[in-house]
Amino acid sequence: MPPAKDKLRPTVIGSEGASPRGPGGSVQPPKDGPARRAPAVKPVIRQPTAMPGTERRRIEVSVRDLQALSPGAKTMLYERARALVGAFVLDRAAQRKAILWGHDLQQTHGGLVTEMLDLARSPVLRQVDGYLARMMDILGSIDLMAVCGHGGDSVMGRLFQGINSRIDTPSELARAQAELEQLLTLVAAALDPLLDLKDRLLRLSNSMQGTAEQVEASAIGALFLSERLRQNDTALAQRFAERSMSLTQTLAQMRQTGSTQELQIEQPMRIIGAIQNVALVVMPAFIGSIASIATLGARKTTISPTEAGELAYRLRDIISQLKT
Amino acid sequence: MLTLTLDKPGAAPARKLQLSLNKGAAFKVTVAWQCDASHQDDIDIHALEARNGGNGAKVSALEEILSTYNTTKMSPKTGVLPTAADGSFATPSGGLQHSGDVRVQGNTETIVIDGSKLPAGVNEIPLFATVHKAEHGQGHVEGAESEDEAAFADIEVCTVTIADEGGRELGAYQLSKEFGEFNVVQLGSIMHGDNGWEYAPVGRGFTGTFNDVLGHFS
Repeated sequence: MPPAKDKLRPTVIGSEGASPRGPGGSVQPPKDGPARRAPAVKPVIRQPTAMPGTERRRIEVSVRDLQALSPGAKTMLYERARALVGAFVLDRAAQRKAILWGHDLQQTHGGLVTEMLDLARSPVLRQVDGYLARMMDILGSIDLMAVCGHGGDSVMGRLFQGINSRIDTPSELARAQAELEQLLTLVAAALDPLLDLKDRLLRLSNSMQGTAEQVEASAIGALFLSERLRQNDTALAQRFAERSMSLTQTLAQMRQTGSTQELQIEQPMRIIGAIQNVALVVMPAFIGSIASIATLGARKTTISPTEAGELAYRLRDIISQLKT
Repeated sequence: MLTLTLDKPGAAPARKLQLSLNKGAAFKVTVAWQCDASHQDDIDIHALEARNGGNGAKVSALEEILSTYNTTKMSPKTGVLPTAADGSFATPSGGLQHSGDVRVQGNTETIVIDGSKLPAGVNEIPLFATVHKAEHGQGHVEGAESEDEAAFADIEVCTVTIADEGGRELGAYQLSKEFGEFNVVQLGSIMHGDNGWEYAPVGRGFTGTFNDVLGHFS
């Protein structure tokens, strides 16, 4: 059965068959080959050779037209809006196209928001938050002056040493040191998942930005089409006006939630900073120092008040860095 | 003011330095498409090394047809353009180069038109995009086509851009939106106009095959 005119069929190029539309649809190769019979001149042509077919006449619109209609956007967005208008074809499906104009972008936006919320609720964030909080609790309970025998000399102080919530004896300090080391290991292990999370959040944020730009271009395009079609097709113009309003609302919403999203991205960045700068750099050195105190305490060797004061200062500094 | 000629009889004329002023002699056509990985439609772009003597562009040799259908890989018996190891192929002049047929979804194919390499007399390069149903894989397999109908609307996103050698976009079509009901689109022509090689859009769609294109241009 010969293939129907409108049906796709495999194209086979061959040298058989005289008719260009025959089974081969072929062009006969010349006996001399193409290189030998090429004329030396290149005649100038002014019109491209066009096949019969349905021509898509684009709705003419300039960046200036769009700027006049909706001023204040980036030039790039007017270019995009122009491309969108250019790709709009007035045909039987125009009403449907108008109703769905920019709809996919709004759906994309919804998906991105959901994804952003999911990432912001990521378990690794809660876990690391917990580790850091516990670390701060322990560090905040350490009374280094007392551990070094310089701050808990009162009768009451000595009486309650060991039974209060403070870490004020060398043995308590040794236990705290062991727990801090455990916490540091856990926190260090969470760094990779946190960096992944940060990358995903940044990618998502870029997608949000890109989507916002597309939404804006789409809104401008819809507004232009509603104006352009008002004379000839009021119903279609109305659809585009509605789409323009809806997309503008979406854009406003995206801009409003922009600061919240920045905070959501900021959170893992802050935690990563705390881990990299404090937990993995300053803390190990400090733990080394308190390990020495515990060792010296066990040997009944005293640490001078100046040394103890210096350590206490470093401890306060670490706590304040972790808090920020 | 009096002047003297400094040329001596029989002396070779002084050689003058020249720079090529043929700006924009190279063009790049890129088709990019994206759709479901299991989708079975394949997009191809094609170009012709044609001569236009005033009665429309024509090709007269298979070597002048840059199409995946005209490669030795796709059509071992009838194709004349050898396929390189990386899948790319070109016309013998090197004036038209194709990046190679790709059937992986979410990908691109490109054609580079290098005006400086085109044979003398070639003055129009008509450009086309087609869509057809095909099995996907690393390359075309002869006989893998199906008779089912395809159209650009089947592709979620399918865009074609035509850019000059500086990357400046000269034309673009969103095939899935603008020509959704068709499976062949004549994009336009790179033609040798008043200012050297330049791009002129056509933007016409129809339902048919690439052989219909050859029927018109040969």
